[in-house]
Amino acid sequence: MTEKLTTILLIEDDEVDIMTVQRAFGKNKITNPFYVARNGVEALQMLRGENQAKIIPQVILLDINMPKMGGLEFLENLRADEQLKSISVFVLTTSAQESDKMSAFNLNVAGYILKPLSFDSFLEAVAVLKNYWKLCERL
Amino acid sequence: MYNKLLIRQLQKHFGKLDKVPSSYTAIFQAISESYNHYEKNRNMIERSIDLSSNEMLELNRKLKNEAVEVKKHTDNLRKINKELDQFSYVVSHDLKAPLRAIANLSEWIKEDLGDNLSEENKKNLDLLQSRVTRMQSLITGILEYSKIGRKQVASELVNVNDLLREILDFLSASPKFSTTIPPDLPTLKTQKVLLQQVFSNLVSNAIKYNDKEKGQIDIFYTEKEDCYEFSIADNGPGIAPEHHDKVFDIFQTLEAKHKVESTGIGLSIVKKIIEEQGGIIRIDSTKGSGAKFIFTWPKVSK
Repeated sequence: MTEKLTTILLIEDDEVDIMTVQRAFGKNKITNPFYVARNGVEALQMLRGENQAKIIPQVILLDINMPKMGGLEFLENLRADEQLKSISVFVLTTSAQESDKMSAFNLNVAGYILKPLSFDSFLEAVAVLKNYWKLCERL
Repeated sequence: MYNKLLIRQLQKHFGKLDKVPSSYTAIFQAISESYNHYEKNRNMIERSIDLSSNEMLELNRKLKNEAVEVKKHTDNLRKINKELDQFSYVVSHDLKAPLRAIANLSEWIKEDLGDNLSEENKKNLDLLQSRVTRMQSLITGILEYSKIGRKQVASELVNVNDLLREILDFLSASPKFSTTIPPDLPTLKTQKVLLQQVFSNLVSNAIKYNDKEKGQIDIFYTEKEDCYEFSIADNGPGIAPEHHDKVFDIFQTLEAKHKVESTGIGLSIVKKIIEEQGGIIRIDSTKGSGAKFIFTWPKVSK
């Protein structure tokens, strides 16, 4: 069986949070193609191939609070774009604020993951994510 | 001379004043007197009406000013409340993010160095991580404290017996503790989470600070006319009377913070919740003889 590996795009501005995801991927032996954008504007440029090679991920991990263009605004843009609107998005944030959660689900996200304080809990969250896209790869 | 009003009337009637029969003089004199009297009274009344209507105007003006003041205050309060919301958000997000980074980075250092880490370095890293955890509980506590009373929770029927059993089962897992619950606990309509928070905090304190080989926690209950009164008694170290008020202050702990892991927020949350409901909490304790926390929970909350 030839599995096509899911491409993953992480949109996150915090250096250590990016490292956290990379490290958790390493621990979970996740070797999928992995890209990082530092904010919503940068991510849209990557997805539309503006001034660079186009990246077409199947899964986006999205932070909410970011400079230039935050997560929710990015989601609005994504869902309004015919080419991009079907990409699965998981929100990955510290914001436990009810209004953020509601807005995210209204923009059709696949999951809302609160960044836990401990790395171990984050590893578990990533393991669950991995199961999700493994399933998608087999379909 | 007669009163002016009377003169006019007499002139109208008799044509001229000197046509008034002299036999009437005494009577008219008396009438004139009463006219004078009447006028004097009328003037006085009119003056006082004038005065009071002036006062009314003044009062009215003051009221209007006060209404403007009240509106200003309300607007200000609204603004402050909004700022507080914003502040909670900043606390929860902006403070937690760097904290998480510190927690992760320190863990990775520990992990990457592995056996190359000296015992002392390892101990220091462990200390660092435990302080990060405390800071996390502090932030969570502050958030919880600031949320009380601002978030409206719906009331529901709460069986206090079930609620307490749940809490005791959850908190006093250790066989070291024995607990008693009175048989006649009520079922009441209230905001469950709040009552739960009060009991949980009090019971977990009773457990956390207990210094005896056999811990004992007893719950008491009496129904009063307009409230329920609950007590949580323990056989722990007790609290000296001079500290009874202090323990409810935010960030106040009696033990050094590292000795018993605590943030000093729990009891201030308990007090705030109870007072928001319109109840009161007090302590019955002396040093060395256990502590009893007694609180009332109104039948109809504020």
